[in-house]
Amino acid sequence: MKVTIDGRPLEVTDKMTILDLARDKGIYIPSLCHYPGLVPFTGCRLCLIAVKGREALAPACGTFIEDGMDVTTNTPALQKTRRQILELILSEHAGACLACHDKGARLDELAAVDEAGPAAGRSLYSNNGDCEFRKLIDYLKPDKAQFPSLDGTLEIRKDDPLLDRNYNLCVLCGRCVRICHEVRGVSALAFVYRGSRAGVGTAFGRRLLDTDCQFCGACLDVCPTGALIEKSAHPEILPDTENNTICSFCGQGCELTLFLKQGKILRSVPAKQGSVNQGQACLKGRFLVSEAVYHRSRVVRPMVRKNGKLEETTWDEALAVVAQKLSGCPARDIAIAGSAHDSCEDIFALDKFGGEGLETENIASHGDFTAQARLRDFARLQGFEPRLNFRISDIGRAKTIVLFGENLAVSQPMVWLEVYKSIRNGAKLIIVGPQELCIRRCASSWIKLRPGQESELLIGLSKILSDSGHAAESAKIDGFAAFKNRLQEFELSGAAASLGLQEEKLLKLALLLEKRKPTAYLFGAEVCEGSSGAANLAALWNLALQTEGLLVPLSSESNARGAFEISAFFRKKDGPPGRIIQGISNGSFLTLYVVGSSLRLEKKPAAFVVIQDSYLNGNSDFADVILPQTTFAEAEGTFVNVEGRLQKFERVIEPLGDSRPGWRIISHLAQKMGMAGFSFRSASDVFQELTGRVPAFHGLGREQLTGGVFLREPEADRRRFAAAEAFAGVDAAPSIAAGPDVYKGLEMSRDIKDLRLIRGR
Amino acid sequence: MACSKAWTRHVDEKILTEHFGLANLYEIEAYLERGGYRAVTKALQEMTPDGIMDEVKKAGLRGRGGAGFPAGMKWSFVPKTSDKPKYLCVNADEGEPGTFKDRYILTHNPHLLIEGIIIASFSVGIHAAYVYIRGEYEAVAQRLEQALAQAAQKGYLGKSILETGFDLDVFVHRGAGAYICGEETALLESLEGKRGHPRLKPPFPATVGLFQCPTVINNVETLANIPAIIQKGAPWFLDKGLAKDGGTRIFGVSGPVVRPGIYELPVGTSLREIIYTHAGGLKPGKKLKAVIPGGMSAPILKADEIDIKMDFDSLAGVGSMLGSAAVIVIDEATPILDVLKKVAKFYAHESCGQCTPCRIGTSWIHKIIKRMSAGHGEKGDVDELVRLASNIKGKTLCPMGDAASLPVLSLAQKFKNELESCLKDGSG
Repeated sequence: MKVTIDGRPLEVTDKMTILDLARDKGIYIPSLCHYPGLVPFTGCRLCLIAVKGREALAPACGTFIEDGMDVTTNTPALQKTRRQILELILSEHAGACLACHDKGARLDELAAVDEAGPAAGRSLYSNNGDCEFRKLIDYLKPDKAQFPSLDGTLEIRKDDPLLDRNYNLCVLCGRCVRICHEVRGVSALAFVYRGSRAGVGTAFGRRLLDTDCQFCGACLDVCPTGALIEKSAHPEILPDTENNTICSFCGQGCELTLFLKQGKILRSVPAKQGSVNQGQACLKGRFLVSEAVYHRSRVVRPMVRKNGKLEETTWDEALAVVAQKLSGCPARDIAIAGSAHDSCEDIFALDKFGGEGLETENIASHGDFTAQARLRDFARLQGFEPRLNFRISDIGRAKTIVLFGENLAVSQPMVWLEVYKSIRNGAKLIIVGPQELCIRRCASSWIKLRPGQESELLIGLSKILSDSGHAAESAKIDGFAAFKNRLQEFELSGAAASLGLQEEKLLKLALLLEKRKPTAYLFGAEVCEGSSGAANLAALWNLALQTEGLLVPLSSESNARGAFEISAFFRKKDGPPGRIIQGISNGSFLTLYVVGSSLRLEKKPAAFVVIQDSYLNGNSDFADVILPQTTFAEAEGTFVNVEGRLQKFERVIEPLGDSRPGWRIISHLAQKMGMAGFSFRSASDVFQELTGRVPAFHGLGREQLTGGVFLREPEADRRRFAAAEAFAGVDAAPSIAAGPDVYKGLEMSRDIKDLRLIRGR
Repeated sequence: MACSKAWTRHVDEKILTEHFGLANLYEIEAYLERGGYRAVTKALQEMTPDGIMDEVKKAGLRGRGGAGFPAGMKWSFVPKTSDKPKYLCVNADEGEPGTFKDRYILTHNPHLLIEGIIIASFSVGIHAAYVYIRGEYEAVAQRLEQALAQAAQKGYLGKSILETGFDLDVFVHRGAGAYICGEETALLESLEGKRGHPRLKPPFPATVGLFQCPTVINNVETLANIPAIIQKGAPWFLDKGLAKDGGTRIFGVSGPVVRPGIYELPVGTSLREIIYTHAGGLKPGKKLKAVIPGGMSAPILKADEIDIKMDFDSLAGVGSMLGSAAVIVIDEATPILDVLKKVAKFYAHESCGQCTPCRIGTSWIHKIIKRMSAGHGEKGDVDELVRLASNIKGKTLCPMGDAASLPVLSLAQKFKNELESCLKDGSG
């Protein structure tokens, strides 16, 4: 398509709006309500432009390019129209803001407002000192206020945690309303009233706390004025530096921008170009980073227990105590429990130290208990090689999404945003699980069942599909005949009865999966564990083959995949990973080295306990030595996210107190014990050795990690149906069914008499 | 605009209001006795969907809601090859001040509308129709529900109507009192359970409408004309009109006239005739000052401008509009400022709030007029009104901006002297 903007001939291939094209080509058209990724609202009318041959002015943000269009964006007449509209907005804006673009007067003005009383309040400034509205005023330069401004008549809402709402500054651009609805799927904010009372608010004027608000902060990030303002923001404390990092609070690896002043983190916002999160974050990443880094329970000095009391000491002394104890202990009596929240470098150093330095076989890796690890273990036992890497955007291609139990909106917010987007585009969501989740309102059905019944449902669906007329496609896949044969024994009516479902419902569900392909199956560790874990995985595997399904194993730890890939490399013999955890719980080891706080100790588990962690917590009571570790903000390193995407992060602030990165602690300890191969000077050194040795990381250069590269994995096999034995109820996959419920971060269920404990997130 | 038709029509020949005198026309038995549902029978059993659409096109039936878009043309925009369901929405959100025609149709002759709905749905291939009725019309909605139940019982609605295999369900949905929901896309939003905000066009509802599916939206009066077109033919209908478009209009006359009420007259009847012949002229002692010819958003006509044919094109020719054909008569005793105040208050209250010029502009217009009305008007206020209104006109997403600004502009221009005499400096 050919178009002309302000006399400039331009060529366009994609369907796009005039505003998008103009911005792309560096032509500025003022706008308030437009925000990338949101449906055009065309409310502010500041982007009005003239299209040749059209009588009325058109909003650039809502007018799509047509071939041969001749557009004028900047004439005195247009600027006058825009200025008049801006004057109208200013007439409803708080008076103090009229002086706001005069920067010199700004702080004085604010001070005056501060004294002016509760009507104005302290909220009269914009987020991050970056007021889009002010920039617009600077651009359009309204000469004088045509109308007296109606000042501060609305009460400032300060009754919520984390953010205040001052609707005296609201320009009704609707960005917050739209992002809450269109992107986040929450709709906590909406337009209220009409006419001159029109505004933004919650249902019945409630606090956000009493709505569905998830406090993701998306509304704050899109607000062009100071109507929505973070409680922690202050007009006189403006950041001097900003740095990007990878959030470590869950397994998705969102890119965050941290704002700093004098080397201290003020707050965090999602990075606009983040490859995983694309400008979105959740409560944790948006509001809790500085809380987590500067938390009062941070431990920043090494501690050694003396006379029953933990006392601060030097690294030298602390490491010497640990080195001495470890040297004097036989390898079989030493156990190490790693954390899947640490960076690849930390995990590599720890596993190398345990496996090659101490030569112990007792290294428990948190990562071995995730859905990904279980899927691979299961598949390899069957003789397959599964694909673990995926892209969150792959889920968007599915027309039917089956979700097992996880409350995605909380546990995997970015995955949920993709699922929600697909639902908006017409995909169907089916939730399977015992709990009613808040995202159920977006689902087309909820199959309520008891934990462990998943395989019954899945096999039932497989049976219906294998008998249907469309089974021809599946018949081309290896092992179908045997699979179908085995399904003959399966009684649909019995399964339906035990699931408490009508057979009709199962048939409908199967029809949906058949008609709306491709499908995606999202599941967490809960589905893969316990006595039914293997059967569930087998049933999932087979159903996915029948329905062009994508298997998406979800993990919640920031480096679950990295942890299990690295630990698999160092693992000397195969065996149930629950064995070591069981051993720790039984007190079978003399010396225990625990990293992180995901292993929850309830009693002193060994004669000598070393804890390497960033925080003091319940576990500290049993520690003989505490080695203070940095958090992600104070170290550099790499994480592998749930997709299998390897992302690096840089150090943003200096380590607090004497805390050190995990790999450095281990290196010093190893050197103290006289071990060779631990002369790492930087995280890059560790990474280099890691990429040289661990197959999944082979040849991945640290430099190429902007936006992330994916881990290497063996070519996935030709697709084949899982063996019949797999769903005979035999637990073929490694299990920690009998194991203790010690990994508190993991979703587990266990039988307590007739009750089942469900670990929801 | 040129019209060759002779001015010989018997004005008592009605299409919509013929049997309004009957006390129980809304009962299906009475309606059937008067030849009701014969048009449906004819359309479904003897005509093809395309044949019906052609007939409606030829009849020159223009939308009776206000914009006057040709009805047959609107139907033909619905894509024939779409795997999505199609919907019909009947706009019964009669919110334009001065307008009360649909209310009469719905109250006295609901089956006429139902017949129209069935024929239109059959023609376009629709199996679900929604009647969006304004919230205040509670009794009217009940009556319509009753009529629908009767029609369904007689087999005119539901599965396989008249054994033709054509299915149709009609649902009544009541609004909640927002003027904006009479705008067709806001109506769709409201029907979907959302806040009544107009949608960006294109895409037009004919392709992406209710629940993202192709949708026809017609006014009550428009659809009520369909049975007559089917029964008596397009030429007969076209011939009824005294202008280029066919048929009759229901003129709702209000104000200080002898007989205010609704008058069904040929399209193109002169405004003078409506006021002086049919409505009986002004009440004794009253003198005509001005007329708003097509609902409150239509620009005002002065007393010497009423020799005008009441059809879309003629009124557009003098800078006003036929709109919903609600004739509001204003006498000399009524100060124009009062009229302006009513107009301004209404639109300032009813702006949906989406577009800046309409939301804030209407409220400033209202504030200035209130000030003038309180005797504190300042020099330049009338010009300010014009400036504000021109900044709304044509600059908003939906026609509400125009609806709010046109009457203000016309009042301020045509009665500038009277308005300025209300200002501090003007009154001397």
